[in-house]
Amino acid sequence: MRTSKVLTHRGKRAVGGSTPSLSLRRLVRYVVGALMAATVLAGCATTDGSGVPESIQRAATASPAPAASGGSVRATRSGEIPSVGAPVAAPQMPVYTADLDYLAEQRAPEPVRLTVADLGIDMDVTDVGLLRDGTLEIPETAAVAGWYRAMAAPGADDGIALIAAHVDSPTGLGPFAALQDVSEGAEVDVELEDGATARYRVSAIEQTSKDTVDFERILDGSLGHHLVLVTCGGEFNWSTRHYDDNVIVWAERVND
Amino acid sequence: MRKTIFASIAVGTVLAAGLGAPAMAVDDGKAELSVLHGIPDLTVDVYVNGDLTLDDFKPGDMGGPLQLAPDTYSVAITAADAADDSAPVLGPIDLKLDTDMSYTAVAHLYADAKPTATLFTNDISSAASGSGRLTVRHVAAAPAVDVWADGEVLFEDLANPNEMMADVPAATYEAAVSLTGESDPVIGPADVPIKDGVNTIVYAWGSAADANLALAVQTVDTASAGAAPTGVQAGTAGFADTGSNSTVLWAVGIIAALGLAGFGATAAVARSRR
Repeated sequence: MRTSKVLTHRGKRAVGGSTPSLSLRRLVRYVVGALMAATVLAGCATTDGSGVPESIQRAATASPAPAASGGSVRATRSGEIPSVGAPVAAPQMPVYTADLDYLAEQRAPEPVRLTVADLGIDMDVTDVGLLRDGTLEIPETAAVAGWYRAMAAPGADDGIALIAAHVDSPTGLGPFAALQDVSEGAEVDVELEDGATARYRVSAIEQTSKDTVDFERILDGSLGHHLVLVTCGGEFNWSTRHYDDNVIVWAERVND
Repeated sequence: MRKTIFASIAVGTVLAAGLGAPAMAVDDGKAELSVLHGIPDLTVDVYVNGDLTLDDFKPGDMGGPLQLAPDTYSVAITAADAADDSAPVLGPIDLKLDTDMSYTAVAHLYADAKPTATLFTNDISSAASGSGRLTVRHVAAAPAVDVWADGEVLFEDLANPNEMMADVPAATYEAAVSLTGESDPVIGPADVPIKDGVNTIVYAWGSAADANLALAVQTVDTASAGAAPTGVQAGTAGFADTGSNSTVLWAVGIIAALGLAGFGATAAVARSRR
């Protein structure tokens, strides 16, 4: 336990120390974001085809190395992992009471409602998994959004929280049809089952062909915790009954 | 030796923080080990390669997971007040841990109540999309059992110290354990959540004769834990079609246009109100 605390602290300090690059990062993001907003308006071209906007990718590159490697490397370099050699009676192995109550406590509060006031989106959220073909299960009605329960929950510290909804259903357009018109900076609120609200601000919007969209990259947790909203857009293929594109919105956590 | 184990713990802790590491069930090049104490009424100390690793380890407790260098580790279990591992109550036993594998070592009772230790290998191969894995291990001083899920027998005639497993759709199941061929539960029923891409391992431990049978639970990520979807098909009806050449279904196209106009108007009103 002692060791883990030292390392955690070190990791945090490392992040704090990179403030200059943080603001540069923000500037870059604004510029790129503005350019991209223009692109989106002009017809939603994509940057490199994967569906990850340049601003997001750049933010990831500018940020400190992911803790997985960065944390340990940093500790080794400064030679301080050697609490290893410290005179400790017993190495601490994490121990827990392995019952069902413990399992239940490990569960993060799930999202129940999604609001984007600017777009008039205010809809229920349910949990979804993957279908047998590996694609995301989407709630049948476009009026309800689906949170992918196998990834992070909104409000988490790490990983990507993914929420998707149908753009339409046989009765008409759903709330997510408005997503493609969202502005950078728009506030996105996710209400959790415990009554708390995880607050986000839109940082990037992208429309990408499904032929090239790469969800492994879009949902790569090394980009830092984001809320990612996904729906469909572009031309509708009347024979496959699918749209050609995915509309993808990134939102950054706002600390109240 | 202490160094080796301690360094492994440190690295394991950092990785457990999990910022961005791609979903990997076991750290690259490591072996993952957890330890379960399933002997009732006996608080113990656990020594690994002669070093005290778990102090005052209580029945029903799980230690770990540790990410260890693949090797053979010697584990001895002593009374909680022992000064060293020279007079173990169990062991020493050799645990051979291979690269990229996940293990749980369980101190438990045989069916005849004799204490023993069993090294189980946890199946971390990918579960099918939308499914999780349920593993049940019989480590109790009790006869063979049937394992029930939602009122049906899922595993039949499971005997100590064996395990059975199945991939099932991710959901919460009402699980219960009965003696083989009977239907009255000796453990449960209890709700057991099975998560996508996660191997949920349930242990039946304790002693039937002493009426302290209980469940212990651990979860281990499989290779498909947290897998990204291969695609998101999020539209069904063409109302949001932006195509200009969809000559099929004019009527639907017109309705879609009206729908869009309606939505635009709503959005405009919403905006002007701000």
